[in-house]
Amino acid sequence: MDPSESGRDGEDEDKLREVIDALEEEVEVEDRSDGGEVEGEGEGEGEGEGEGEGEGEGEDEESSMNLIKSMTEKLATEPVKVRVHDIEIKGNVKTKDSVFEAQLKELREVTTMQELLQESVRANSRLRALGIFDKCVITLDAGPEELPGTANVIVEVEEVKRPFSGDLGVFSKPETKAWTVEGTVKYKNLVGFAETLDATGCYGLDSTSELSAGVIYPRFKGLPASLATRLTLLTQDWQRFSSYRERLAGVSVGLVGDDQHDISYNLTWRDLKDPSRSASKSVRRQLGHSLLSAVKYTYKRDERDSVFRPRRGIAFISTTQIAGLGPDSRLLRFARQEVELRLAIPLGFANAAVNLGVAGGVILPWGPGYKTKPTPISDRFFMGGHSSLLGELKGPSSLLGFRTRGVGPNELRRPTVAQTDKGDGEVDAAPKRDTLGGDLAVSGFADFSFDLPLRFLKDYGIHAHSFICAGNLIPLTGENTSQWSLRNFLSNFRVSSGAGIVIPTKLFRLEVCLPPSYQIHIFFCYFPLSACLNDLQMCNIYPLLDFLF
Amino acid sequence: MSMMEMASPSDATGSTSVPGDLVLVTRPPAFGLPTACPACLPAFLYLRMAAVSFQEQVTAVEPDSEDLPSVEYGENVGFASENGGVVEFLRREKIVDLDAGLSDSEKAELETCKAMMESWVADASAYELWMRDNDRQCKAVYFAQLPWGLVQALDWKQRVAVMQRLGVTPENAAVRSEELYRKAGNAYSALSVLLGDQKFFFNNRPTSLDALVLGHLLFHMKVPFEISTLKGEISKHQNLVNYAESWSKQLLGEDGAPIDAAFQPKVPPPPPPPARAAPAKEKEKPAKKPRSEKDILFKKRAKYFVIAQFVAVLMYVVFAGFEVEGDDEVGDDDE
Repeated sequence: MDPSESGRDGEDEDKLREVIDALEEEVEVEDRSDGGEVEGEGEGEGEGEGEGEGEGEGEDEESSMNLIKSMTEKLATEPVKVRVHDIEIKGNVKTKDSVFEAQLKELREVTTMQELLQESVRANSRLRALGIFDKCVITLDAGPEELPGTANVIVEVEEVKRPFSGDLGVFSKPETKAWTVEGTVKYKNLVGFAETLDATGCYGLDSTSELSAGVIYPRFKGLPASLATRLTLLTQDWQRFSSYRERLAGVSVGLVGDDQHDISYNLTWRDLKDPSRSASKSVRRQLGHSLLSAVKYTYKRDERDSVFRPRRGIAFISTTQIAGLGPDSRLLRFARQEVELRLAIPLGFANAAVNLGVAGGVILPWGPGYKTKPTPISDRFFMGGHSSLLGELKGPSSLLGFRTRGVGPNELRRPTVAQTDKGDGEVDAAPKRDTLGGDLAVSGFADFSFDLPLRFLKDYGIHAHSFICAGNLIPLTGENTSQWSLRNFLSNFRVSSGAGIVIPTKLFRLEVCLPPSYQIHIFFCYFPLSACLNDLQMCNIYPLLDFLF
Repeated sequence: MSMMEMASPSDATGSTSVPGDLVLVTRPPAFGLPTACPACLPAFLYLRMAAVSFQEQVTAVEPDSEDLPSVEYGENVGFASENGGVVEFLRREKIVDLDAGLSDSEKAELETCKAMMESWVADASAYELWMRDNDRQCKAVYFAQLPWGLVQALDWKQRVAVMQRLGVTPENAAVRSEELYRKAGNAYSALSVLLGDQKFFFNNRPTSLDALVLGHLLFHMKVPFEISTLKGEISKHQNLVNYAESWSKQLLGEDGAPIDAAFQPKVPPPPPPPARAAPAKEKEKPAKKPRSEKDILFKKRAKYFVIAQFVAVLMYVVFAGFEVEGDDEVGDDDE
């Protein structure tokens, strides 16, 4: 995101001042006898320059200097009325004019010179962000003489010679302790609509694999949103946690807004299988084929000053999904709502801040007999895992100190016939359990982070934090669900707390914590304050790696 | 959709089990059959013949699963795809064993006939069911409750798989089908001779072979295929037709006639309690948990892992250098 698109008044004025100062400098340096256009490269800092109504021919240098000086003073002090008469595009061979029209739409609506300069800068950065031009220059020129108070905008571009690009990477998902190899190939601007075609393949060592291909049209039909279409084939292995593997084949079409809104439609064929034949009864009842036809709407606002160590600001995300759209009553039918709110409060000393967050989600089936129908296990909420509390908003899904998918109701798996020699502890002999997830999930956390007093640590951004987080998960519909009561729900809350050191680097963020038995004094331990009897074994130690990219 | 099969109130077994300990999971009913799937019907009939009370659980979304039919008995489950299937599971769990009283020669005959059923007859049956002409009936058997797009996709996928397994291609379809039907016809002749005038195949007692044969015969007699060559073959043997019709009335209670008294279901013995650790042990207070070897090893490995990560970070910091996050504090020398 270009910082110049923030749109705050103070910043705009500063930028304008910069522009006008630069203009003055240019004017003083250049040869005045040209009296012609002043070209400028539009960069992020905003050096787009414009020219007033220059009638430089025939006037001597002194008076043209004075004219320009008085123009710039006028620009700085009062709004100068101007409107855009014509936008001219030069240098595009493949790219259609409509692409430019969509990106330059705001230019047509300007009323003053100041706005024109600001919008030119923004438009330039948007055009560059498309990634299909090697060079992009916006020039502002006087409009035709018979129409005073107008300006022409000239856009000169040079298209990229090599529209192909590729990526290959190795990523780690700390939640599932899995490593994945991911490769992407992109082709930009094949047809001329500044679209990006991409094909991605991803293979994980836990035999998760994904193949997907998609097209993104930026500013589709002039809307401030990109049209993204994607075809996906995905296999996901949840054998270790819930004894099933799911295979998904789907297509999704969505409008991804420039900043806040996002709406998409998704049609997916889902197949849940259990090759190990060890699933518990509830999971066995979930196996089989299903068709998901759903619309999802996301509203997101993130006004925190940083994603990875927020010290000030507020962030909010709300995701609504309605499934079962279609005349066929045999489609999967449910409604799902997820909400998360985060607050970062600076404390004014030692770069300290308190981060508070609360997240909740609910999923319910709809249609006749909805009270007894269970929700599909793939769409339920699961809690637990090692993802960082701060960072991206992911809904009520992380609860430090608990294993991945470790919180909430679980059920005994099918006992295997071959029970070999029993292990030393009871845990080995007991058959494993499947986590079933929940229909209602609530989680919250409070995190206090502060710089450490050592100068060396402060320089490298190493800081400490301590936190407390809580969460709960219950099923609402289906068989074997007891009557839901608020008191029950609140009394079963899992709580965990701890402290640790955070070492941010360019590549990743490392948080470490160890239990006290290791006698390392600078680290503290995570200890769960309370846990439900039924929760799976909790993880006492985890190094947490969040890769930034 | 589960139907309770309750024993009559005057059940004298005196067992203390809860009815419904035994659950048979099958595909949905159709065409007047309790389950229209040709693999699940023999299991259903076996339990009926054995007069065991069971609950029915229907799953409509697994048309391609090899695990069906399956039987759940408490926490234990017997799938069709493992270890002899449902019959073997029932025998192993000591619920019922219809083949128990057979002599050795009878057992040999039983196994031979079962092999014949499960190869020749099953192949011909699969071919007829998955023929393109019988598409409509096939969809009613397997895909009745799946949404529209999935029906087409799964139907095509399974048909291709079945025809590949049977070795049928568009070029050799006529020849191959003739061969399949001929073998099925031979099998029917053999079964007809073996059955003769008896009520059952062996000893006037029902066995697993009866369930298997009956399931197949009822399937092909009741499902109205467009092209039903096998039905024609079956009708050549009148004793097989009579056998099927009379037992369908007695076991499935059709035409308003009640189920024969000999087959009134009785409640099976209670399942063994699940082998699970005492709940107290599940209370996860890490300090109190006994230290097993596995735990110690895990902690050791975890320690090394963390130490290795720290070393990696330090090495990166020292050798690669990185940018400071946050404001640069100009380090003023003390003057």
